[in-house]
Amino acid sequence: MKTYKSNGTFFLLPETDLVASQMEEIRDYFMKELRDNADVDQVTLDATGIEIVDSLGVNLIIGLYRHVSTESKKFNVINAGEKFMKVANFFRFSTLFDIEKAPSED
Amino acid sequence: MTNNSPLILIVDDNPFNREMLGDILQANGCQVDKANNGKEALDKISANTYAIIIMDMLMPGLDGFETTRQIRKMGLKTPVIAHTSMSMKKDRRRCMEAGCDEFLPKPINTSNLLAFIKKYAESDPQPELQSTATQQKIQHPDDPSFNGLTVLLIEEDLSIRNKYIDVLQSMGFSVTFVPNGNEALNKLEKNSKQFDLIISNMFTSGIDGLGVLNTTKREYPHILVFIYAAKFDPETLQLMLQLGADGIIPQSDFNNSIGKIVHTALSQSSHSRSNQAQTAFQVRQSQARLTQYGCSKPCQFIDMAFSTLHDAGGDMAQCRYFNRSGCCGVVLADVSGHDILSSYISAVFLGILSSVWNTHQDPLSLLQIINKELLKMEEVNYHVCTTVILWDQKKSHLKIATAGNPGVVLLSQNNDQLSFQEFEGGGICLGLLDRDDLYTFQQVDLVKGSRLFLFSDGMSSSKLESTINQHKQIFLSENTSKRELCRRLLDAYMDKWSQDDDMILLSLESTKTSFDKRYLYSFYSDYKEVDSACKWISDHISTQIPEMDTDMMMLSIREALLNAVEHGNNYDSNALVEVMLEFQSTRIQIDIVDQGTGFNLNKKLIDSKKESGFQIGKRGLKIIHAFADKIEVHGGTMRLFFDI
Repeated sequence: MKTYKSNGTFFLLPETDLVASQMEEIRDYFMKELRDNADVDQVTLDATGIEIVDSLGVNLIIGLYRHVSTESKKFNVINAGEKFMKVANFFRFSTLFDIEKAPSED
Repeated sequence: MTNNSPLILIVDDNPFNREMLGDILQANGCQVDKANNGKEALDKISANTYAIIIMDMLMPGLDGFETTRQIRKMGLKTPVIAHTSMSMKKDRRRCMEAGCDEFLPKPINTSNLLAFIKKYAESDPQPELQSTATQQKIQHPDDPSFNGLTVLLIEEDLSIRNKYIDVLQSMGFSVTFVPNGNEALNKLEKNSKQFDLIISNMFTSGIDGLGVLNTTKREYPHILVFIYAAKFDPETLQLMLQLGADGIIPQSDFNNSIGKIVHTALSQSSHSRSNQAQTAFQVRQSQARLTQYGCSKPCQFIDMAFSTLHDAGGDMAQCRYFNRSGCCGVVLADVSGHDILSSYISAVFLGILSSVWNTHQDPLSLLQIINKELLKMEEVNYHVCTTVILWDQKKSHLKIATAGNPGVVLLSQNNDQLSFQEFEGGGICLGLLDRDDLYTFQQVDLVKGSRLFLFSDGMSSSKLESTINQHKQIFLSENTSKRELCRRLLDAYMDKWSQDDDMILLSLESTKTSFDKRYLYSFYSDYKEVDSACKWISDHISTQIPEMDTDMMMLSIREALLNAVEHGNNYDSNALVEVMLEFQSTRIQIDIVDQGTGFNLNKKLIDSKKESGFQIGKRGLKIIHAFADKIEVHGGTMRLFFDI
């Protein structure tokens, strides 16, 4: 997992499934990175490599969205694969933030 | 020695004492008979009439106390002189309470002995041995009247029947007769209120005296039952007393004895007898409850049947479904004795079992803890023979431990052949010794088509196998119903071998079926293990049904697994989650078993509907419910179905 900043946007790349077994590590890492990079205007979750999102993963995404929103910043998701989209659609993520499918999914 | 000399029975296990007493008595003009023990004494008493019995109270097996009690139960008033080395006041009282008339401490005081002999020989209430019916007037000393009482006489032999009818009618009885037990029971079924007494030959064709006694005491407790025979063996005698015979009559002395024995039995108030009958009925009802299934809807794999012979004590069986690992427990127990205290011990046993079973599912562990608890009661005269099984139905695997009960019998079927394998039973019964290393233990895999039979010591493996072989079409024919299998086998067993103790029979069937494509997996409660379990499930589904889209299905399953880890097992890393994956013809079934108590599915589903679209209920039910075609929750088991 990694993060990087580009043109005022802070990118979060889990590069792994958002499932219970990974959650503690991902959450701690992302929250620390967000605190250390508070000067950005937008936070983007790059879903590349995310195949599975379980309920804890959903909670993480919603938690990220809320955290970013309380700081009046924008949150979106890019590179969402088919499996990610199924979960996103089920939980109606698109009513909260923008989701951009991965190029191959178009 | 003359015919008028009193005939005295000496009961003592010590040959020196027997000879010495015999010599003293014979030297003083008495006739002497001797018995080595209580059983032999009862045998002799049932065949002969004695003026006096001198009873050693401390003997191995049936001691003097119990022997005297049984003599009194037989309705005999023969004076019993307790001859014992116990000389305390309380010992004297104990002897008297047992029914003795005099107390003669050891070493013997000859003048006291002879004084007792003189006292009782002169006031001999018993008819002399050599007297004949014609010489004796058949009347109780109190001149009892039996007018108005109706007797059902059961006797096949015409001449004996006519003779006894004369005797009974001369005493005032109204007499109806039948040749055998079958006809007697038919008569009772039509109008049992017609009869006050049954007097039956022990040995008749069809249902014998014992059968009549057993049925009458159960179904028509208001009727007094008296049994006569030329000779009784001690075991039969004891059995009749246990079954509640109101009097046992030596046939050689029928004419002389019958009046007194009936009078003694009748001297108990009808109120008292009615209360006793009611108590016996209640005890039987309670006893029947000791054998029951642990589930309100018993599974198809277990069957049990029992047949009680005694009112109290005896056999019991229970099964229980454990949440943990989806296993079942089965216990078959047999409490020693058949009295009220036996029933009390049964209840205590089940109380202990109930409180420790969940936490001691392992058979040996369960035996050890129950033994420990029973020993605290210090009821040294009571013990419990027990068989315990931990039955993993998913794997059709059994762990079996026995403490004094017979070993189990495994029945296997190969084409049209049945074969049996007997497993070791025995071991020390519970409640006897503070040792936990004397039980037997074995493990059995019940392969498809096999059955395991458990039974108490009222049955034997060889007789059971013979009975099964005689009815093997039940097992060999797929068209033959297996319903109430144990009931049918038990009835067949009793038809063939008769019954001389309580019987209980359990059958455990293999849980493996031919249609199963069933896979098992288990893991400890950890998130990484959930990932592995998901991969295992996903791989199996992909292999079995390659074309199936499993994305959302796996999401549902994953949530169910997380639910088991988080809520069922409360993150306890030592707690197992078991997964059973079964491919059926039109759907996939997945059982996920945790160690929790389960939850109310409908209530939780309603709660989850109140959540906003992206909220997730605490059990992930929204996701599980969205992608599974059906969900069931049974205790700690969540069962998911996915249509193919």
